[in-house]
Amino acid sequence: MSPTTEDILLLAFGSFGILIAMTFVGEVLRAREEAGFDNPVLDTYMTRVQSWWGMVAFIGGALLLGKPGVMTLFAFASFAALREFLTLTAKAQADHLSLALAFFAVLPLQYVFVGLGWDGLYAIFIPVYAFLLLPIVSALRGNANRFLMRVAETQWALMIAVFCVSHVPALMNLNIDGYGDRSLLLVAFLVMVVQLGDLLEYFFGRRIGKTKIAPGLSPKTWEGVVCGVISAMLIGALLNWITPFGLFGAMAMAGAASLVGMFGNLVVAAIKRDRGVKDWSHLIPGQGGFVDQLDSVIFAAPIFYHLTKYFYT
Amino acid sequence: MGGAFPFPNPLPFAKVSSMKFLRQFAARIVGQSIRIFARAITAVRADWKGIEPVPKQRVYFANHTSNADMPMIWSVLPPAMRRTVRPVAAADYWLKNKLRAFVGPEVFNCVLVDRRPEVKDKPMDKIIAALDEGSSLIIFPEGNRNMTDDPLLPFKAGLYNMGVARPDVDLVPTWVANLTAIMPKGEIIPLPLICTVTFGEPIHVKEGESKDDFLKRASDALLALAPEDRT
Repeated sequence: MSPTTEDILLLAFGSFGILIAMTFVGEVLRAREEAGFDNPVLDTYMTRVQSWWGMVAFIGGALLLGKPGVMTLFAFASFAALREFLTLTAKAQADHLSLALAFFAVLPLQYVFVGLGWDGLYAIFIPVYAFLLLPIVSALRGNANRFLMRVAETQWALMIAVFCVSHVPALMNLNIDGYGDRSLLLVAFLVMVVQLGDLLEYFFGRRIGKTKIAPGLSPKTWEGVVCGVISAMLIGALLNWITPFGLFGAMAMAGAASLVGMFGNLVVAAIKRDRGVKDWSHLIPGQGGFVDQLDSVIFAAPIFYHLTKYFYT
Repeated sequence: MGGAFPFPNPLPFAKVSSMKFLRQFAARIVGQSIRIFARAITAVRADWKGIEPVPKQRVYFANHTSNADMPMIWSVLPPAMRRTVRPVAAADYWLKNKLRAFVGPEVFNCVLVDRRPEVKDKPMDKIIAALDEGSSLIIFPEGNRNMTDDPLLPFKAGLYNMGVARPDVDLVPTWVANLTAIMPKGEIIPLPLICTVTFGEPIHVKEGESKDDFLKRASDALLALAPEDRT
């Protein structure tokens, strides 16, 4: 067994340990409850823990399969996220072909380029080529009604659901001196610090949160965010052995990723509020859709990728 | 046409029953495939706003913009409800060729009605007969597919007649959203957008309510389920 595989297994068992503890706490709380009494907070918590079990199993399994596994998992996540996003965006029949191209050409090509490691191309494919070419396809059908809104929202969907999400597996392409095939572990590092930071931000926000960051948008508080980012930095420090960053580097990277992720969550909340929906879809029980679950990772991924590339390669 | 499925059956009895078994088996497989396909492409899901997903006799009346409407509603029903539901559909469409004649009556267990006035077999008699055998129904009260920009066409009288003839049966408004964007008329490639089927609160024909008043109320109840157009 290679050291990378051993580390992945260690991380997976660590995560399962945390989940077992969380499931146990939930079951104890449930057992303490009087019969016939409903506790919606506890129910939500338990459904979420169940979804996390699934997520850890999926991501852990994908990491063990190596690059092809991670690529496939995130390509499917992109597909689900794009489907959720484009269901809510403005569109007309004139956009049918460009939307079909977004699903069946742009998305697969982006993942092919990431898979081949053509970093010059996957960094600009959607921001340049899709950005310029898809509106041409829409314009050819000659419907100017709400045109800018339609093409802009489609581009946003592609940037978020395909470009940003694909930067998670793109981490595996980074050539870091002395790190070798271990760049796979950066995927685990990013997902773990961002998701756990979110969870602790939520927890502290509930406990000690007072000052809302954007009232009317999200219940997020400054206290919660500060505690969440500090927690993410501590988790980053604990996980620094799987990164090439060193102790303080790992803390800084974890803090940056977590901070961007939390504010990304705010942006996504604004979009949902604008479209009058609570969740992007209902694919993940207790969590809403893929975009709901991944919003912070989605925002953090490209920035984490470029910071790593700039400072460590 | 319009009557029972017109297959002359020259085969001996044993063969007939094994044929029947095979056909039923094939119908189940085709049904499951349609359901899985609908879920994979459109992630179709049910929103139980006004009713619970429990097996109770109901008439689901839905908007009709695409041929995929009925399979979508059928796909989101839980198995126990799917077994007792019968879509009311046009015989001329479902008996056009052998494949449709298999899928319509045997996979979806459609109540096929013939809309031509010269046919003796009245559609409403077959519908009432299906209700009396305990089936739930899926109907499209607009009568035809809605190809206009209006959200709904005026309802035909059928829904009112059912409500008067069998007043105990719940009439459930059922809105199928997004199918026009998934597959607009004239396009070839379906978009994998999310399709939602929303079930509203059941309505009944009130004592002394006129046909037009009831149909207006039913149409409003259905329209209220449509996601608001924010653009």
